[in-house]
Amino acid sequence: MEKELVLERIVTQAIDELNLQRAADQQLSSGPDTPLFGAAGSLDSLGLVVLISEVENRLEEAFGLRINLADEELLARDESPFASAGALRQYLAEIV
Amino acid sequence: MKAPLPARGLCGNTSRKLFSDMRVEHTCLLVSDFNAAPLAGYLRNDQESPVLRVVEAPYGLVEPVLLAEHEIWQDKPNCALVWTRPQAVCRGFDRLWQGDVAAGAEIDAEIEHFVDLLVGVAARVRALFVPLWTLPPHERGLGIGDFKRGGIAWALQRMNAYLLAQAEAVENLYILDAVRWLAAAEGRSFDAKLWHMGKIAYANSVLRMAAGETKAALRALDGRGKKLIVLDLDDTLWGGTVGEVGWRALRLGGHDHIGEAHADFQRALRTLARRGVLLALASRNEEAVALEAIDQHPEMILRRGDFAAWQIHWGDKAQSVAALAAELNIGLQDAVFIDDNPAERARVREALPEVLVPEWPAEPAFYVEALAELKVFDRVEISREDSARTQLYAAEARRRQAREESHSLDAWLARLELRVYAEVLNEENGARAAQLLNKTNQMNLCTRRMNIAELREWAAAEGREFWTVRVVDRFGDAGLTGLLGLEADERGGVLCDFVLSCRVMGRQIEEAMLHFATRRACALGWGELVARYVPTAKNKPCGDFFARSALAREGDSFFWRDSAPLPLPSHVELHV
Repeated sequence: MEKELVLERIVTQAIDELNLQRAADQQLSSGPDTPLFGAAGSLDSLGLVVLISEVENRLEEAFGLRINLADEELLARDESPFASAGALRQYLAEIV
Repeated sequence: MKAPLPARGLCGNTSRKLFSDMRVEHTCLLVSDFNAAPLAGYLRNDQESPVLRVVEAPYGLVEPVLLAEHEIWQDKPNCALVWTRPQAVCRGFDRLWQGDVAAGAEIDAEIEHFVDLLVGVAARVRALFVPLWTLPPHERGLGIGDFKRGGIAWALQRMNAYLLAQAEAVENLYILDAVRWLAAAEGRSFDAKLWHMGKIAYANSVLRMAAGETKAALRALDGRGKKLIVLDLDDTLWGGTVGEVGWRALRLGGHDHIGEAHADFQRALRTLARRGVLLALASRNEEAVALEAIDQHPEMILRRGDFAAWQIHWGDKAQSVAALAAELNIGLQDAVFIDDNPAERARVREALPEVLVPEWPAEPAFYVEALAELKVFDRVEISREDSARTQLYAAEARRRQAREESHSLDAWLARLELRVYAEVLNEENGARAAQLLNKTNQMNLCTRRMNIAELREWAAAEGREFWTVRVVDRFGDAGLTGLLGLEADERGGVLCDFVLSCRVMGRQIEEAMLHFATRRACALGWGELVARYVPTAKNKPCGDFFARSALAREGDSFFWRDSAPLPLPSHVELHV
């Protein structure tokens, strides 16, 4: 399977898992423009922790890579990889 | 490159809905020493019944919440899940865990105190769930010496042993097997990042499983376990197509991994049957050919007598499933259909949406796991009636045959040689009585639901009597199938519960029970007995029965005001 497709599935499945913990009116779409964390996003810090954990575990499962996404520098970027589902996919494609 | 982990839904094959607009059935208080917000989310969103409202206690405030000093009790939870880490509730354990020393007596005293708090909580809710204490799999303690005195494994076992012993004495305190949840996570039960960043003590997969298991426990307590499994034969109960290869060439047992997998699946089904789940067959085959295989194949674990009914022909399977449910008097919502063929599953799912039709693995090696993962057959206890259920249904089939051979209803009733045994609620019949009270819908005057502890408490109060009714005829013992609850009031008495299993309806057992209720009213010196019918979507048969009874009707209330009891049907012998 193409790397990009695997990464897309990883992000989608991580958001699906997160949605299983979220209220009906707080469900997230996994579309590329869905805001996640930051000014426009609806994820609180706990939601971000769960998302990071899910993505990291799935990356390890799929690629055998232990990648640290809980990085303050990443969160502080002007264009944070956690700003949207699309930004997260793009960032993962750069580092994997 | 491996495929990524699937995001597993909580509901198997059904599409995901959210429960936000559905009726809340339980309010569950969630108490933990760690951040359990993800678990609360899973509990709220889990697709299976019952629908929960989850009230989260602030984590870290375990003792004040358990002491009922916290305002959270104003939400009036009717059940609670108290999940703690051992080092958070026992300072002695915490010291051992950190390499210090602690005496066994110190650990015992602290755990005794904590369990006392749990017992206090149990008195305030209908059900209290407490997962076993565990440690993350990387905690090795002293290694080889960890089960010796002073090891953390030794202390953990000691704590759990005390908890289990106390739970035996508290009827509504249920221990949940968190050890199994951690094992199922295969080394990923603890997520360091979730802990360090969010104080979440378990990985999402463990919390998701905990939610599913808690819901399964509530379903069992509500008497909502599935009652019937309808099974395909070819490539489901055995490998191969019997009509093509003949029964001798079927893959079942023997030195063959496919045959062994089918035999193991049959063993798992037999275990469920012994716990009261009915098995039935829906197969596209020649009936004689299929039954010959069931009777003759030396490796069959399940034999003809293990199946309560069957539909073996070339007709539509959805119709077969519906016919089996009707024949066994089981609601479609209480049935599960298992078939290896996706087309048959799709057909039944489409035609009978109430039936649970799980996706089924292509590989027989996974059948046993797939059955267990359904989590719909949990039971609080196994009653005598559960163990003998298939035999009860076989007796019912003989009864129906006798009915067909009789020229009139009276002749049939006379042939049954009915005996009714009334017995007051006691230690032995309590579990079955609670089960019947919570499961019966049709012949149920008020549809009052109580767990066994609540039922015992109700029955023990002054001015009340709670009777169980057992029905026996010449075809067999139908078991404990009726209940009567009586309570004194200022004008005489009230018939609070009038419950009869649909298994024995229509044999004038209803009239015999009404005779007995009025006989008790006479004996107690009540000048009046009133039965207040509370209509539901399902108990019209009960309303109809009372309407045609000899009781005087006023609206939905039915009165007996007499000096003599209502008559006992002539074909019924009553034993008290």
